[in-house]
Amino acid sequence: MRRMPRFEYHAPASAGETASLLSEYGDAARLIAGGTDLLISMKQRLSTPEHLISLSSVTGLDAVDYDEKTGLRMGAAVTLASLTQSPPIKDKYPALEAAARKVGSVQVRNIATLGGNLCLDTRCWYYNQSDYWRQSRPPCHKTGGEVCHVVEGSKRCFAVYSGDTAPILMAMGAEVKLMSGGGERVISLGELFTGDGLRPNAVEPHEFLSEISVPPPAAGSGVAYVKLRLREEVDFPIMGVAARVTMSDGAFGSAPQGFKVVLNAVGSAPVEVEGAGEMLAGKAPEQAALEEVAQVARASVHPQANTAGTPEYRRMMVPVLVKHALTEAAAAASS
Amino acid sequence: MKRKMKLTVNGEEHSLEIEPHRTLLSVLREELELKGAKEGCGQGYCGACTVLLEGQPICSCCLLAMDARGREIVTVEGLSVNGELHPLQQSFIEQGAIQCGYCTPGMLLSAKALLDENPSPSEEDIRSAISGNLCRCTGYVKIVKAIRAAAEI
Repeated sequence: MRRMPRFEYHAPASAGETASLLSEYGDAARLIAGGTDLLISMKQRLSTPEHLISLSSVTGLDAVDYDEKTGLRMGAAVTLASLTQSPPIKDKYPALEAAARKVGSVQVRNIATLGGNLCLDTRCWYYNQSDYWRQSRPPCHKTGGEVCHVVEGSKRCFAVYSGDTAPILMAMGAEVKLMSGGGERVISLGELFTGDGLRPNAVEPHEFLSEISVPPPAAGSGVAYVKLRLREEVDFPIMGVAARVTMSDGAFGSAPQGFKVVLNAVGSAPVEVEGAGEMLAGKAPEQAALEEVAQVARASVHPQANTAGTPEYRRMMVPVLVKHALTEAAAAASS
Repeated sequence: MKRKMKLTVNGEEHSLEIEPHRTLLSVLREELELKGAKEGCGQGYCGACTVLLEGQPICSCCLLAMDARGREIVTVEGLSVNGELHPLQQSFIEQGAIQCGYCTPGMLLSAKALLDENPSPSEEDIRSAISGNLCRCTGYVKIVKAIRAAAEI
């Protein structure tokens, strides 16, 4: 592995200072929180910012608060490890705790942050390689070229989004706050993802993600995230499914908005299965109802040969994991 | 441009002047001559560079030294006290839990973090605690045994 490229280092003490550094340096700057994703791409020369703005000294950006009325608020720089140890999360959002535990290794979770995991860059076999390895082929779309090594002749990039905390947070209806010198804006977590492999999130160069909020868990609801990977630690997902269901008297609740199924690592953004609520609402939580959603989910994704696991295998596993996630979420709702 | 920073390593405070692009691993190895932590993959997959930051295992290859400033680091060199090996180190030797030795410093530190929090771990706890450390000699059985034996001391 090559050494790190050089850059100017800034460690602002407040969100305000961070915003003004971002507007000063714009595209020439990158934010660094934990760095477990960014530093590797810098070693591989996928990213060579002139300025790194570290969030390590910004106070209050790692706070976790819970209020019964307003729900959970997490600072973007909270580490995944502290998230898994936070009493309100363990108590009220156990599925979020479990999803955070599925990221990387113990060592990575102790540095990596929630904001960083949400803003994880998209990945591809032909992209996440050293600059030396990449020299053997013409540059792809994501490295500034005009070809795609995954889908021949493609005008677009198919790099895959692999963050494990996004799908479960989307299923729970999370929102994110983006701060800048000009103020702040709050968008739903789903809107954070552009679906563009080249530029996977909607954070503008002068903005930074400062806070993630989740509504209080609704009565009778349960969520789960199932992650498929080659090894049970360290690996990125080769596919994942998050599900939220609402139960009422042993059956699925009657309101379609009580349901959400989000597929992960099969495209450039986590993708919600359309109509899942209508297919499940009011039904008995049995195989037939789950099967319908599972098949719609399978038909909605087109994984490519750019991560571990063949596209055929990943596509075949979509319905399996959807049913698995729905069953787990139903069990969580009933307990 | 070099930056001044302080780093507490194995209980000793160091004042350093370093370029900000240096990782914690490169500062430990090249500035402080602490060669225990190793660079394996350089990407946070193998755990050979594991050190303790405020008592918790981290990959020192994926952390800027600047972002560790003012914080407490323990490397494998900090385990022994007055020349006496740490019970985990002694146990690794007695159980033959070392082959090429490249993963050993990281394994020891992940094990130390575990035992500090949970003095009597189950085999599953031990396996989970070292799941971010690869041993390419595949000597996991003896490593798990050595950690269990050290816990019993």
